[in-house]
Amino acid sequence: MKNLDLNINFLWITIIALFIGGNAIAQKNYTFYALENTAQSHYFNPAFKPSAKVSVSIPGLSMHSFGASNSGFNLSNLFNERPQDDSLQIDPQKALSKMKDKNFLTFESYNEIFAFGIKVNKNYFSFGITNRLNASFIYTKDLFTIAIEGNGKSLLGERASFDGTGINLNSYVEYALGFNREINDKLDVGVRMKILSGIANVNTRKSEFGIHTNKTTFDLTFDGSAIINTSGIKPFYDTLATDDYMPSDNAYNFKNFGLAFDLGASYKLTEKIKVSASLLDLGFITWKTENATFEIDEINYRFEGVYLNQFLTDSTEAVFQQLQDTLKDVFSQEESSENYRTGLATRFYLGGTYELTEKFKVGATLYNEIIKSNYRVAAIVSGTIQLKNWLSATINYSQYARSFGSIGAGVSLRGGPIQFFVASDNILGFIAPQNSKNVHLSFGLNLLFGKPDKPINKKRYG
Amino acid sequence: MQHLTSKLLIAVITCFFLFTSCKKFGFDKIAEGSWNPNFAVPVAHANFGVYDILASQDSSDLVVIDPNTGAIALVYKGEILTIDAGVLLNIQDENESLNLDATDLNAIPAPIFNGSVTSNNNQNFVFDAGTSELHQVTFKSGNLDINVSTDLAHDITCIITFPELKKNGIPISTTVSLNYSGNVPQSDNASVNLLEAIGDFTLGNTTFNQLDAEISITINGTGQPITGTEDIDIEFAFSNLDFKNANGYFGQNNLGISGDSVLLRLFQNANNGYFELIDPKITFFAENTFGFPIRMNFSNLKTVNVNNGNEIFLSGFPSVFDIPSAISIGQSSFSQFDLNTTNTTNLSTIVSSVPKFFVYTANVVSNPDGNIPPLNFISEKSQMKIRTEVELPMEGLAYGFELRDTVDFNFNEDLSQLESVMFRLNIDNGFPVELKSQITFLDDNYNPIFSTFNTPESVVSPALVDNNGRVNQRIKKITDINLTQDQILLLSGVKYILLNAVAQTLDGTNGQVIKLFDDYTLDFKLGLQVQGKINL
Repeated sequence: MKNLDLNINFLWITIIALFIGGNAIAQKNYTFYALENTAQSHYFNPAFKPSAKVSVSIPGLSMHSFGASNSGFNLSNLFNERPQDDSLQIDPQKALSKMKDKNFLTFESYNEIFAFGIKVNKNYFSFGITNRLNASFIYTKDLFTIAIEGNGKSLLGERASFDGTGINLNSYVEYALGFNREINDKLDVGVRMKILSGIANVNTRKSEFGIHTNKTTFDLTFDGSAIINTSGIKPFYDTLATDDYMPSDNAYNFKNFGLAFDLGASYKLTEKIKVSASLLDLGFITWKTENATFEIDEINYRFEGVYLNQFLTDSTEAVFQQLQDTLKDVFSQEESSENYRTGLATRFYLGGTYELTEKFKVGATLYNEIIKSNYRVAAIVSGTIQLKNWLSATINYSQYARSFGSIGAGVSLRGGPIQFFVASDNILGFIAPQNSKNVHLSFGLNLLFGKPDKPINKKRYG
Repeated sequence: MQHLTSKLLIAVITCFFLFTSCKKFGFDKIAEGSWNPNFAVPVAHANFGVYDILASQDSSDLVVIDPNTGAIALVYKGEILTIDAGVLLNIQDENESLNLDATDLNAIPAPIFNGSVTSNNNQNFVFDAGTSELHQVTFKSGNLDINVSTDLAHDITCIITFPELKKNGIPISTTVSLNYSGNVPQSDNASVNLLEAIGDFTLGNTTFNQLDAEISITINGTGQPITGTEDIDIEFAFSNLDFKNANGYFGQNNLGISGDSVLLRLFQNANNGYFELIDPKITFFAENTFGFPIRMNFSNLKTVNVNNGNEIFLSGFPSVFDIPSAISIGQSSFSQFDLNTTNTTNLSTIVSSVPKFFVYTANVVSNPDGNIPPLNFISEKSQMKIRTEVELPMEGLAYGFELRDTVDFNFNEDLSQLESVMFRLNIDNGFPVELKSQITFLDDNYNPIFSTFNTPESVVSPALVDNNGRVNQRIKKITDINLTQDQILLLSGVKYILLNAVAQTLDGTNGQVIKLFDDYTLDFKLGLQVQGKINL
C-alpha cells in the first residue's frame, strides 16, 4: 500500500508538472539527467557521478550538445493542405493562430573542450572546460501579426505590442572544478565552482515598444523605450575598431570575468525510490570589454501623415527634411560603454526515480529555468533501462515549448574504456521536424577507467 | 520482473512508432501561397484656416478681418492706372536762327575800319510744349548751343543774355568772341548747360511758352574795310530739355483709360453656380501729386464670366470721381470713390454668376473745368495712381458653386499585387460650407475611364450656424474612396484626373445667409488602407 500511495503521488506530481509545462519553452539536456552512468550527468546534478574511477573527455570527441526551439509555431503550422490535392499552401495566418502573446526562439550549444574526473574513496573530483552559448530571440505575436497581416486588420484600433521583444545572447567559457561526496548510504551531495570568461553578450535589459493604429484616421502612435547592452559586438560595426579583432580572445583572458556555482544532492528514500535536486548556473558575468549600451528614451510620437500646411510656406524638400529630422529626434538613441553585469540562466532540476525492476526504473523530472523574470518549466517522465553493464538507454516524454509533447531518448554504450553516448530531448525533431518546435542532440565519447560497471549507489541502501 | 521489463520495452517502442507514424512532410508538395497584408497609414493632415482657404491662390489676396467681430472679407486689388509726369509735359527742342545785317550791326561801310561799334538786338523764342502752357520751368537737364558766324573781317564780341532764364538768380549770359585771323567767314560757338536753370516763359506775365534773349555785338576794327554787305548769323539750339518742375496750365487732356479688370481669384476655378454677397464694395483709390485736378468718368462697370461670356452690368452707380489737385509740389492728394449697395442698385448680385473678372471702363480727364486758377504745377516725380479694391465681405450664400480642375497623372508602377486601395478622408469642418466631390480618371483623349463615386458625394458636411449665420457646431464627415483591383489595374492608362467639386453654403438653396469669421477652421486628414495580395 505504501508503494501504491507513492505511485499515486508520483502520478499527481507528473500530471501537474505536465500542465505547467504547457507554458515552457526549452530543452535543456534533461535526458542526461537519467543517464547517470555517464560522466556528463555530473553537469546536471553535481551529486551524480560516473561509476568509473577515472573519466576523461577527450578534446574534440567530448560532449557536444546543440539545441534550438521556437515556441511560437512549427513548420507544419506554416502550411495548409489543399483540399483538392495534397499539395501544401503557405498559410502564415495558421502560424499566427498558434502563437502566444510572447514567443521564444532559442539556440543553445554546449561544447565540452576538456573534462577529467577521479573518484577518491567517497569523494569525486572533476575539472572541465566548456564553451557555452545561449541565444534567444523573444518576439511577440503582434510582431508577426503586423508583418503577416499588416496593421489594417486585427490591429486596427489596437496597440501592436512589441513589449519584451529582444535578443539575448550569452557566449562564454566556463572553467569548472567539481566536488562530490557520499555523505552516507542515502545521501550524495556535490558542488561545482565555475570561473567564467565572457566572450560576447547581448542583453536586452528593457524593451517596450508599441504601435497604435487609430481606427478612424489611421494615425500611428509609437511608444516605447529600450536599453540594450552589448559586449564584444561593437568591433564588428565600429569603423574605428581594429580589423583583427577576434572575440574568441576573450575565452581565456577573463576580462569579462564571471563566477557561478552548481549545487546538487540525491537522496534515497527507499530501496527503490530516489529523489534528487540540483541548482545550476547560479552566477554572473561582469562585462567590461568592447561594451556598447544603447538606450532609447521614452518615445511617444504620433504620425499623422505629412503636414500639408507646411507646403503653403515651405518647399517640398524642406517639408520632408523637417519630417526626417523629427523622426531622427524621436527615435534617437544614446550609446555608452559602461560596464554591466548579467546573470546566468539559472536552472534547477527536481527529480525522482522509482525502480520497477533491477534493470528498469521510471522517473519524473521537473526542469525549471528563470531568465529575466521569465519562469520556464518542463516536465518530464522517463524510463531508464540498464540492458547490460555496458549498455543503458533512457526514453522520456516531456512537455515544453508549448508543444503537445516530446519524446526524448538517450543511449550510452561502452566498449572497453570507451563510452559512447548520444541523447536527444526530442527525437521527433529528427523524425517529424515539421511537427516539432524544437530540435536537440547531444553526443560524445568518454574514456572510463576503473570499475566502470559498478552499479551506482546500489550498495549503499540498507 | 524480467518479464515486466520486456513488456515495458515493447510498450515504449510501440508508443514511439505510434507517435512517429504521422504523415510525412514533403517540401516538394509546397505549391503556392499568398501574403495578404493590409496596411493602414496616415498620408496627410492639415488644419486650414480662413487664410489658407481663401487666400491660398495668390499672396496678393487680402483677407480683411473686422477687429471687432472677426468677420472676414476678401479684398482683390488691382492697379488700374498710373500717369507719370513725363507723359503730361514734354518740352520739345527749340531751334532759332538770327541774321543781323550791317544795318542791324550799326556797321557803316568804310574802306578801312579801325574803330569800334556796338549794336543791341533781341531774339524771341516760342517753345512747343504740346497743349501745355508753360509759365515757369526749373530744368533738370537741357543744353543751349549758340553758333556765331560772320563774313566781317574784324574782331567780333557777341554777348547773349537771357534775362528770364536764370541760374542762382542771375540771368544766363554767354559771350562768343571772333578774332579775325585773315580769313572769312569766321565763326565760333558757345554752349550753356541748363541744369537747375529757372525759366520764366511769360514775358512779364503777358504770355506763356516764350523766352527772350538780348544780343549785344561789338565790332572792333582790324583795318579791313566794311563793305556794308556783311552780316552775322547766330544759331540757337535748345535741346534735351527736361524739367524738374514746372507750372502753368497743362491742358484739358484725356488721360485715357479704355478699361481694365480685376481678377477675382475666389472664382478662378469656378465654372457654374450662384453666389450672392450681402454687402460687397468696390472702391477706387486715387493718389495725385499733380498740381491740377483730374476727373474719372465711369461709363461701364460689370462682372464677366469668361467661361460662358455672361456679363452682369452694374446699374445706378454714380459715374464721376473727382480727384483734386495736390496742394503743392511734393504733396499728395488722396481721394476715394466708393461703390456699394447704397449707391448702386444691383452690386450684391453682380457676382451671382461666379464671375472671374470685375471689369470697368472709364475716361480720365485732367483739368476737367478748363483753365481756371490757380495755376497747375508738375514735378518730374508727379504721378497719379488709381487702384481699385473689390471687397467681398464673406456674408451671403452660394450654391451650385462648381470648381473644376484637371491635373496630369502618370503612374506606371506595377500594381498587380494590390487587391484594393482605400483612401479615407476625415474632415472636421468648422465652415458652414458643404462640398460634394467627384474624381474622374481620364485617358489621354480625356475620355473617362472610371470615377470614384457613382454620383458626386458629399465629402465635407457644412457646420451648423445660429440665427446670425455664425457657426455654432462643427460637423465631422468620413468618406471612403475605394478602388477595386480592376480600377487599380486601369490606373496605368490614366493620363489625367478630373477633380470636380460643387460647393454650397449651408442651406444656400433656401436663402440661408451665412457668415465667415476668422476663427473658422477645417481639419483635414487623409489616410490610406491598402490590401495586398502577393503570391508566394
